[in-house]
Amino acid sequence: MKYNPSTVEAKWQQIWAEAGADRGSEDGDRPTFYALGMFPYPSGNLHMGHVRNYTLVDAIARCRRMQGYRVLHPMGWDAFGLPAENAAIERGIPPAVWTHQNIAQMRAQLQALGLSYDWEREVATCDPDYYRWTQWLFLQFWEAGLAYQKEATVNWDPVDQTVLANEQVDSEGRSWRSGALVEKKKLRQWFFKITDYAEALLQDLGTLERWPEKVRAMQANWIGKSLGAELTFAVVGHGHTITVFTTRPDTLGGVSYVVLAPEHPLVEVLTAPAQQETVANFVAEVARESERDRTAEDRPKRGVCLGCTALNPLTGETVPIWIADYVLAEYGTGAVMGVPAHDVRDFAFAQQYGLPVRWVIAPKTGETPTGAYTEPGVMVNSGDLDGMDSVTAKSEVVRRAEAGGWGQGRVQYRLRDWLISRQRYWGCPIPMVHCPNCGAVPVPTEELPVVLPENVAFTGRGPSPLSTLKEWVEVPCPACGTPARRETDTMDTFIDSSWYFLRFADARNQTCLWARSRQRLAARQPVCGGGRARDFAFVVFAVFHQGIARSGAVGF
Amino acid sequence: MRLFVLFKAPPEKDLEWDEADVEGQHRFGYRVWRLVTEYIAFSEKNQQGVNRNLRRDIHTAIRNVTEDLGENYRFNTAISELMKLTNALQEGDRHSETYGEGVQTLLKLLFPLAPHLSAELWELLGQTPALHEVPWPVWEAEALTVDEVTIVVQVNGKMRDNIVVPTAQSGDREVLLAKAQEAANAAKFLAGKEIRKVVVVPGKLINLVVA
Repeated sequence: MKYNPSTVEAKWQQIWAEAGADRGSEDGDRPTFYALGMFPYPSGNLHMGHVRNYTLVDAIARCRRMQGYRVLHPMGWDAFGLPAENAAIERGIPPAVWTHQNIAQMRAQLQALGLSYDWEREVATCDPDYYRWTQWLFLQFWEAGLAYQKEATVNWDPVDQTVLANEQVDSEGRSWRSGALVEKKKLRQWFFKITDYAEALLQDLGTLERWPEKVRAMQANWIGKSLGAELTFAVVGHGHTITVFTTRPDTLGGVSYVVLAPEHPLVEVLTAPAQQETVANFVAEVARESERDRTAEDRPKRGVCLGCTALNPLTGETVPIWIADYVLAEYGTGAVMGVPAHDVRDFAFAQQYGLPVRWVIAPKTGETPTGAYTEPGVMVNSGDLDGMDSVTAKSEVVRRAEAGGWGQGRVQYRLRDWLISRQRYWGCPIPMVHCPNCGAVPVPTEELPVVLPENVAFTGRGPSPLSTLKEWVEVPCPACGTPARRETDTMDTFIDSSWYFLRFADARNQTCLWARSRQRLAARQPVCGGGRARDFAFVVFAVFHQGIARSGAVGF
Repeated sequence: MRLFVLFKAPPEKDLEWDEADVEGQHRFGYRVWRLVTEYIAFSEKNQQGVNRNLRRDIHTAIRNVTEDLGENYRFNTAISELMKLTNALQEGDRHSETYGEGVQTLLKLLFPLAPHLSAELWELLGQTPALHEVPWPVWEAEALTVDEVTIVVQVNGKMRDNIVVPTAQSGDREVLLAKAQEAANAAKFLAGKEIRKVVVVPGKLINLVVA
């Protein structure tokens, strides 16, 4: 007797499907188990990484079923995103059609593998039944004061007159379609205030004992907590001050220059007439570079001086003010102090531009440092601080700054607020209306979902397709009835996928995101199979949990 | 294919594709298929009782696979355990009842990893209900205890009998002496005599010097 895999596999898949063997049972007293694989983007084909993760989770699910658990083992589709829109631009297939074709194909592939999913709980983030609740979540954030708008830069294609996603910009900074050099442009966009939760997230990481160390370290690095101070430098001859963030207040005496981000609002005000052309050219050049290039460690840092000086609040000395590509406007205060003697990057910068190096900390061994000395040591060249341990000097400088009104101790996080809006079509519409009288007004929850229209033309040029649909955009203000405009940005797809594991517990509920009575099946911490590269999404999950919990809408 | 991705690496390591390994997992699947179908065709099964050594292999596999799949998610070691059990069955005596227990256990433990193959074999074996409705096997501590050894009993240096003792006690002078005195054949040579000296070679023999 020979083993014939294809007939045997088809036979048993049919038997299991007819018996409902893979359904997660809501009833009974048996213990529950949640086997959750990360749902895929419906590109059309499974890759080996999917097959592996899903097979691992399936083996766990099957074992738990045999052990008597009621197992929740669902599957769904992370279905919004750029590739569908690109297919529409390139081949004229509507994104919804392309996506649903791909879903059908991949579902068949998963079923052929014999993965024991409860298909009755299948969800796709692009279905109104699902994104209705994504929009509902957005409104919870809005009401809790955690969603707000501010200006942020986008990639702008000057030829096609359109906003580009990072993925649509090639390594030379050109548009994927027009080939034009991509520019930076400021747009008013939506953010989630995740920085409010930076400390809580960091503390929570400590409790995740079963997470691999590597992943926890990655998360902690991403949150990037640093203890330090904000210190204020007065600009000579102006009424302005520059506030810098530093983790090393003890090195304040060694400052050789102060450096601003090229986008810093003071750059225009402070630049001396003689420097104006040089500065303007440099700012324009940096505007074309990506953040990653600007801060890459293996790249020489570049800068120009503004032709003005600032007062060191500790020593009273004057130091030149520069701008440089490695300082980012969004991080900290958008300004830092340059201490070549005690910072590797500043040392390289000072060597390149002939800026002075003054050591204010010496090794306890009594050696004389030559390069950037970044370790703790003994204070030197620092007036009455001389001889003090540098760690003690750190708090002493902060104490003096606070007493003198020129600074204060601060905790800084690398984590920034989450820019969630995209000027794209194939995403979850942000359920807001802009009214000339009332400003930004939420769409009432009973009117959700704000359905994504499907009668859309794609050219890849000009404004977002949504903003050209008059009949969709023009609506009366929900608050006062005045003619108003819908928000035409859609949400980052990470928001769609940040809560799908909750929906699986109650995938067909029409009246709420999930009912508490359904929590029991999913109440256990899910066992999650997914790529490590995407583990950082955990932070996002956590923010959602806290945000929702804070709004009090759903009890966790 | 399923077995390959599971066998290849622990979850925290990245997967490297290897044709030879895929082939190896295929072979393992076919080995199980052959082992079980041959057993189905074997007409003299269940004619002898319990084989303690094979039973210990079976329950060791249950214990280890339960830990690997249910607790630590170590799929590669789970498959190694199943390969060991398959080897033990290949060398085992197909007449015994224990062999039948071994085949059934192998299929139950294999089900989460290779569900189609094991469900089919389970049905061919004539088992009901279908394998997806069968509970996970539970290991018995008693079956895991390491076995007994046979100790030679000498009287005045001549072999007179054998005794069987738990391995753990095979060097215990008091236990061996008591058992040796009870052994039927040795008892004949000890009757009416006085034991002057006892020599024990642990795990091997006990020599009673009498006069």
